Amino acid sequence: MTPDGKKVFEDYKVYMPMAAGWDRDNRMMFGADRKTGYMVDTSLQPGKTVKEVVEIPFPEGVKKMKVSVRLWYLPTSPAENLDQLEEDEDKFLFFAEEKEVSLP
Amino acid sequence: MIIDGKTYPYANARRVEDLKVEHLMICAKCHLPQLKYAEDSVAVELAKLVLSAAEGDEKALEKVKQLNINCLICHQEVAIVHKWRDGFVDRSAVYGKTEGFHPDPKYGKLKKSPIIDRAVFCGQCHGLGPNFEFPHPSQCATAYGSYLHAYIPSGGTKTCQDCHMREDNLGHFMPAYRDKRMAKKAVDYSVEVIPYSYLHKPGVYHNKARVVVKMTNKAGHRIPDG
Repeated sequence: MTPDGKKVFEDYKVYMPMAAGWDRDNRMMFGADRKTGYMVDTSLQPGKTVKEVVEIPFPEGVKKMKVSVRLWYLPTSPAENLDQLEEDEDKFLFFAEEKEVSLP
Repeated sequence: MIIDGKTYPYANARRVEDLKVEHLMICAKCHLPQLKYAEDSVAVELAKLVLSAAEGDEKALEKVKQLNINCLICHQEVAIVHKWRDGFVDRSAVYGKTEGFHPDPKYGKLKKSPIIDRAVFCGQCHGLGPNFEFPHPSQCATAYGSYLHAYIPSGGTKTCQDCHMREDNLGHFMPAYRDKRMAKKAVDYSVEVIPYSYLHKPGVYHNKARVVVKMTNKAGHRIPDG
């Protein structure tokens, strides 16, 4: 976000185990009656550190930005609807960090 | 979904009235274990109640809410894992960490479950993976599988009960992601940001903020899981 409050960059990553429906076709599905195993697992593993690097371009003429990083737990909702979800009902905050960054 | 006739054509159920206990047990194994002792008519009654509740029937919803994992599920039904070693469950007793007297007219005995404070106790429902014992396996929670195959090999030494009950005196509340104390315990993190100017070509700089986020899972299982 720029000093005048304009959002210039937004991105998210999803960490979760994913099961293929009835373990075939590699098409992810939800529902206990459809899952037997996992095909892809991007979840945070016990004892392991995940490192994510994001490079955010400064817009032309902007020398200062505020960077916000949040880790949300979403029990049932898709990540793309984040702003519409109710906190502590549909989304649960694990951590939040804000940093200011300025060009020298 | 079972009764639509297309998704599970071999389930022998085309209408709610065709449902049997075995159809619901793929979920009720953990969500309502006591259902296994009921007649098939109860499965139909329960299915109708749940469908009504899902359609907005408040009375039906209140009835459904009365079905739960109550004291007797943990403290009797699933209290003994190693039945050949420790015996089968005594239906006149409740199980805990010690032996003795239990002040209840129906369940007057307190018997010891040797594993009630071990991860295997929780693992009975908080799952290893697919429940292959069913003709149509289900898979819901897999936290115990992650605990056994990721947390323990990484050097972990705690049990489910350590983090979800003993620490912070959480007791039978047993919170998880909804509790801020658990969220704080679960993940260590750091966020570092450095501004820099990338020399794209002679005389042309692209200014960037490089954000490095590190997250370490301190829980006894993958996050998310259940």
